[in-house]
Amino acid sequence: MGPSVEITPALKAAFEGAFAALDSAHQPRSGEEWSWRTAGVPGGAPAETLLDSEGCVQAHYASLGTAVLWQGQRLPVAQVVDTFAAQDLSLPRRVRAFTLACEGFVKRTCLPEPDGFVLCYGFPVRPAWRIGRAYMGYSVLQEFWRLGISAEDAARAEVAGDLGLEQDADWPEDLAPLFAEHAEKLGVPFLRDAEFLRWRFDERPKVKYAKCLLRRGQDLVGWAVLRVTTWSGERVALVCDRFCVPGDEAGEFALDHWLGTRALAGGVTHLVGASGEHGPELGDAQRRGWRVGRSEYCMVGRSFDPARPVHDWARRLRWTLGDTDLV
Amino acid sequence: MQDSPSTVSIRAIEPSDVASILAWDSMPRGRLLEWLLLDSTRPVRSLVACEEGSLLALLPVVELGDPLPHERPPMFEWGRPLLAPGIDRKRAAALVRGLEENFLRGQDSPEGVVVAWFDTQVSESDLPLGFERLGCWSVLEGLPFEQLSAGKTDIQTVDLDENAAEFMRRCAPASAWVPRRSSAWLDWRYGRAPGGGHGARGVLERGELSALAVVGPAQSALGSENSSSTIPVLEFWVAPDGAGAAQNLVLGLGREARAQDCELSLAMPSWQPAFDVWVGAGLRLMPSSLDLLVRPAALAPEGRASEEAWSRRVLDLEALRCAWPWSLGDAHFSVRSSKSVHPRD
Repeated sequence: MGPSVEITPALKAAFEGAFAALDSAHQPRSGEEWSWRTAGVPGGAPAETLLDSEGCVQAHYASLGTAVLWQGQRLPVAQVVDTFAAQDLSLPRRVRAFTLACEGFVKRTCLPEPDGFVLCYGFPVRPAWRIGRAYMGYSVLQEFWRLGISAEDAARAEVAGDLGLEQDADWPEDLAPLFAEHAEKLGVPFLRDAEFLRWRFDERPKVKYAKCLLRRGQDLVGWAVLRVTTWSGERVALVCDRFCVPGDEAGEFALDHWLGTRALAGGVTHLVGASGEHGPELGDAQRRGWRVGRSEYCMVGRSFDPARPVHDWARRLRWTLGDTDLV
Repeated sequence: MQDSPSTVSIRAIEPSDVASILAWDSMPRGRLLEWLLLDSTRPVRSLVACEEGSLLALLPVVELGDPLPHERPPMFEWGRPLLAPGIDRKRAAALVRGLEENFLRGQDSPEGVVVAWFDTQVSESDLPLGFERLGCWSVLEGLPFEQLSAGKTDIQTVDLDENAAEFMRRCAPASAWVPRRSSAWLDWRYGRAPGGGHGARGVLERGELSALAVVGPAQSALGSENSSSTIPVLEFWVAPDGAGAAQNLVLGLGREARAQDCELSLAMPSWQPAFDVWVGAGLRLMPSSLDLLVRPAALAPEGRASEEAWSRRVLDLEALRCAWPWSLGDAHFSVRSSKSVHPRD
């Protein structure tokens, strides 16, 4: 995989210009946030920046490297983020520049390169989706369902006597083996271990996440991560990550209880999570009172492994909001 | 025909083909086949491959809605091709590809769209030519339990006549991708479908329809793992100001289903306002084993399309995702018989 790109003042300026043009509420990104998104990413953060002959940024195609577990194998995958083309280019030149940056990224970092990314995925803004679909082979992977419940209803869920909730503790080292043992029962999950979770939720500058470990006796059986923020114009508590040993219904109720209680303590009345379209967890959550709604997002991707076409990824991938850069 | 023996010819299906097709294994019932592919009131779209008088393969095709040449791009639904027994895998693949290419070359309009509801267990190489995945066919199922005993509902049986068809057309969004409902189409789709059992229920406000549903006979769940019998909701149309009527209709349908010891099941794109009504009433959204595939534009089957064609294809895909108000009534093959759509296995 290629190295992280150097974040130059010119790249920062081009990024801010492009994203401010797309979103009037865009806030400039701090230097600390840039560092967290590049140098600190456990799975690497390769990127491709296209410059013109005078060194001006024409397009940028960046990623957050991570991994999935597929039948016991750890496969490198990349979330595509921060892609843009310079706003002062004409539309055809913008498309061309964006495509060249993408092609450069793919050639350098994806299969068949050794240890290359097997899958690139993302939750693109509409212009990026259109170009990506037309020129770069993006396909629809999964719907992005919004799951919601009132914090009061969630807080009413019971915590069985043999379960314990441990708030804001360090991510334990026995988390990775627990996840590896159980998570694939649900499909192809994005990897979880202490290193990833520390980077994703503990080390992010200026964003506060609440977390909770769920134990039965001394044994870890799950966890959840929450962030109080504004989402689609509403003040909510977002379920950024969640895992419970599949089939442990009491454990799921206990996590619901913690999420609801913590949301109320944070002054918000509604919990919001997200789900793809497959897997038993979608139905299980609804049976516990969560309600499905549409969202403005859609998960798209491109597979670089002929043995794992997009249809396979679409059916198997299991993700949480923690696998997106949306929260 | 590419990749197939030169002695193979391809033509439109004829009534005399039905007896041969029915002799193949795992075929749908003859009446169903005749109704779906050879109804005298509708254009014949399905193709068959023949060799020396023997029928080898069928590509089942239904045009969505009422054909209206030149008024909108046509939309077709493909079923899974059916093959005569004893054909080896390589030849079967060539025959199927030949049928698909022949259909795409012979379409009336190059602007046409082809859709298919496919079981996702098929491998990608078995997918039809040029198709893309639009998404999973998620199923809404259950009953509006919490509200069934509360409130008053006033739903009534409605005739599927021109008044009903006109209501459906009025409720449809302003999009190029809206299969047209007419009284003739409703009569074919629900009045004369083999097995019968379809019915329409509506809510009237000031003597006018405000919400209208077509339900089918009880059946097993639609592609999900639900083991309950379900009443499929094949059409659900709501007037722009009919939110209250929609809720009444949902509750009324729920009560009718419960009286038959069934749940309700339906599928629709989530951008439709009615999606929120069903979810708000307490139905669960469950994954199914079916994917919705589309072939956004009838590009030339061979060779790379022009840049403009690809751009058009992307916009069409987006429009289909965001503005095609499909319902179970548009899924002719999957809903009627799962066995009829698995010839490639």
